Amino acid sequence: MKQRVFEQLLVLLLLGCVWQGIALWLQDPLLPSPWQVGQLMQIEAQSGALGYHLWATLQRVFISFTAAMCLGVLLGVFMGALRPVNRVLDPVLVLMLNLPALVLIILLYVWLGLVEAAALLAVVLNKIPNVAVNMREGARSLDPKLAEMAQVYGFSFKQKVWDLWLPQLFPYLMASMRGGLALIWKIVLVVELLGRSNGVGFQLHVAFQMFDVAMILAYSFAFIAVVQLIEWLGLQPLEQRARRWQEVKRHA
Amino acid sequence: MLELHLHAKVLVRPILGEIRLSLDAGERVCLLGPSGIGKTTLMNILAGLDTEFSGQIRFSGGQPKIGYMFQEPRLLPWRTLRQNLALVCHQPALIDELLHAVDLHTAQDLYPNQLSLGMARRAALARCLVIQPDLILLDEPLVSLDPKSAEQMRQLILRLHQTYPQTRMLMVTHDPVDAEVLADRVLILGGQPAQIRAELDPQAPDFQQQLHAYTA
Repeated sequence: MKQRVFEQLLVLLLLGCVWQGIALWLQDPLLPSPWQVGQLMQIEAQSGALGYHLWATLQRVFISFTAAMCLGVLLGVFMGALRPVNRVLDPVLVLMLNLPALVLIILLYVWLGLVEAAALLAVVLNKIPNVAVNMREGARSLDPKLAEMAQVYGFSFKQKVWDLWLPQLFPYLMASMRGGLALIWKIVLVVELLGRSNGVGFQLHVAFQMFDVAMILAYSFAFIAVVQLIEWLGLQPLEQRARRWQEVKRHA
Repeated sequence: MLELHLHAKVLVRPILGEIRLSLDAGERVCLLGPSGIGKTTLMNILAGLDTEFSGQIRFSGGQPKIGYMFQEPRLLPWRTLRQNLALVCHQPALIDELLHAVDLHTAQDLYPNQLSLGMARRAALARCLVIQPDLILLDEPLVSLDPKSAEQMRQLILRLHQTYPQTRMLMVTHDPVDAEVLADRVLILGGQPAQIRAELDPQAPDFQQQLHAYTA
């Protein structure tokens, strides 16, 4: 594990060196060096702007991620478990999957106005279909033999959820969460760019108008770092804990 | 008295025909018959898993409590042995008692995929007894065990039945030795749709010959 982190850091460091080299060679304000970006990041952090906008974006990501996961999991599990529900909703799901994120964002801003609710709704609606498709596969792969066992032994609904279904759905849930986090924060940036007055997306918008590449990179990297931290400190430990039963050595 | 009176069970084609089966408290009955005859279907009907049949199940004490030991152990792989038992029984003392009885108390914190098949079967047996059932259904409890483990399992089932003498036991097998050792009565299933073709007493001196006459 430590070895792997070290290797990853080494690769990143190498990329940084290449970038620094090219930037020094070109001497073009449109390609700032990593050093300059780092300095700008520090200035923005000290002024409080970086923290403020990161926090605004993070809140939106958190709210829409939670909502999209809850609704998507419910929808997907229902569709996977009940054939009639799937027959009715499948065309809707395909439509939603193919609807470009941008279209949904623009339409909601037009219909609801440039308000927070429209922004969040747009993100949630964009993400739900992906989660649902994933969880539908999960629900279809539930083991009928274990379901029989649970029926014979009179499992309560709570036991079925926690001890029977959730562990079987966990890999699908994890995949949805991983993909979900990455997709959602990208959509949140678009939503902010088009119609909000704070957040990383808004800052990118401002920087874009001034062709301030260093600013664009500073905010992007700051947020990538935050997402990576969530992955390391939140998702990976969760996964390791839940997969403990698979890690143990099999009996010879 | 626990009674099953089955008229028919049809699944594409008729599988089970007219079958009457009754079990007194403490009785051990063995169902013998070729594979594919419908033994497991009959077990599923009794367990309440299969409700699409015509006939009825009567039990003098209301709703019978049934422990079902499936052919595969069907333990939850993401729960330890003890957690698997705790899911169906809320009395820790009883769980301890059964873990000792099946000689798995030292393995109680292992996950099912750390167990050998014999151990997993014993765990499944413990789970089916820990609910203090009126009836236990054992579907081929000895199949694909090596001879030594099979003999251990046979002795274990006998011993446990002596510990809980009121429990009715219905066991499916295709091995005449199991039937002779474990059962008070042996029912031979046969025909299409399957019916009970004979009821044998395993203590009878000519049991093996009789059995041979039906299974040959």
